[in-house]
Amino acid sequence: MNNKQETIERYLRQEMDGKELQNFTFQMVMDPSLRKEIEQTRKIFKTLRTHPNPSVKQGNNWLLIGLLAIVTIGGAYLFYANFIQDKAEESQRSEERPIAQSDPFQPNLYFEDLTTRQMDFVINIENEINAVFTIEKNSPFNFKIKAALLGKNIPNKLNLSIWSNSFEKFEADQPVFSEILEISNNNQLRFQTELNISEGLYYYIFTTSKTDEPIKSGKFILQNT
Amino acid sequence: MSTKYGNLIEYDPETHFDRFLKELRLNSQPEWTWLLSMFRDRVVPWLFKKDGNLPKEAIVATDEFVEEVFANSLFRFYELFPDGEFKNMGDLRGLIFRIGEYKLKEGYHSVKRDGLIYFTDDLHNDGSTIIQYKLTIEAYQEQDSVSQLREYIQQLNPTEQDILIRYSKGEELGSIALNLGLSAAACRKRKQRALEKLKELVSKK
Repeated sequence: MNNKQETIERYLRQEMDGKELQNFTFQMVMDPSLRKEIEQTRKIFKTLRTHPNPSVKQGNNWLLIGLLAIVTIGGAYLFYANFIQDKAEESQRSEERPIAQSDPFQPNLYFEDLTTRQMDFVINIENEINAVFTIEKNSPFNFKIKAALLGKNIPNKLNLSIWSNSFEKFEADQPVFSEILEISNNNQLRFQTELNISEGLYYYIFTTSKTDEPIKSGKFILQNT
Repeated sequence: MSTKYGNLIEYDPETHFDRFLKELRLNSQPEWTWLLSMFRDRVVPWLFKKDGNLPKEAIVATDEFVEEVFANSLFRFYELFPDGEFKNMGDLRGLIFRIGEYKLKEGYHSVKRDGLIYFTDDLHNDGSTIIQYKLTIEAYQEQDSVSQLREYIQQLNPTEQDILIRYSKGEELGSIALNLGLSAAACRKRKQRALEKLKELVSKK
């Protein structure tokens, strides 16, 4: 696989803009072999999209299963020890809830399940956010977002919230950051802020400013040097 | 002179159209880049406005559909351009919009056809016979090649399949890596290798 293939992928995933898109469009029009390769990759992507997901063990699943098993056994023990009913209910709830707060890097299943809703528009994030960032301890983290909104009925505002992976924080409706962002007239979104957050796994969620319906989510890891 | 669609043209293409057309006929990159950028600026928003007929079950998202229609319109424009007679920029714009309209209809048709091609395998009732009947010979051939491609995908190991499926649906590699417990570099490599394998298999066929 070469840079050409990755360039084709970037084009098909709508990750190009500006001069790069201008140059690529020119090459695509002039070069029939490039067109053919684009078509081939597009067809592969379409077929993959309609292909059933294989059952893959996800990273650190063993830890999650282990912790769930411990909680289940603990719940059963409490039940047999004739604890009061609300204890049993809490135990049952513990089995269902994602166990994230025990490890700052453990994925939170609630957030993992958040998928992009079908809207008339899409948020095309242009900078690399879903990544691992390394900063010095006690230094603020510079969170930046650069996105373009494409489609119809594009709102003029969106709500951005950032959450730690802790389920308790989510239940208490306590994001580490939340702000309503303005969308510019040319449907661009530019935003950056300094966050004083410790190392761990964080989720960012875009929701509609009126109904708070999730539109797009992603995650990043922050670690100290 | 710096223009909106590229700063390599030192004149205004609208007022010096003859010169501009001459350069286009010589396949000059600055002129073509200018023209294609102007088309993108005007045709893509117009296509977005007209996308109401895209079926809900379409495999592609609206923005991908629009980009595909736009790209196909450009290819057709480039094919027709050598034989065309153009007096001003309006003639070039008129042609790309006419092609765009036609390619949009063709796009709707192919989205419906894709639905039949990609999802017919999932139908097990009598309805499948009716749908099969509607497929043209070309679509049958396409369906065969999709079935073949699916077999090739099955030949990849489950992790590779998972990476590619997520990636094709637009998930960022960083996110896929986090979900599968891989490093970003390893995930990228595995994605590259898996795609390479698929392309090799398709090319061999």
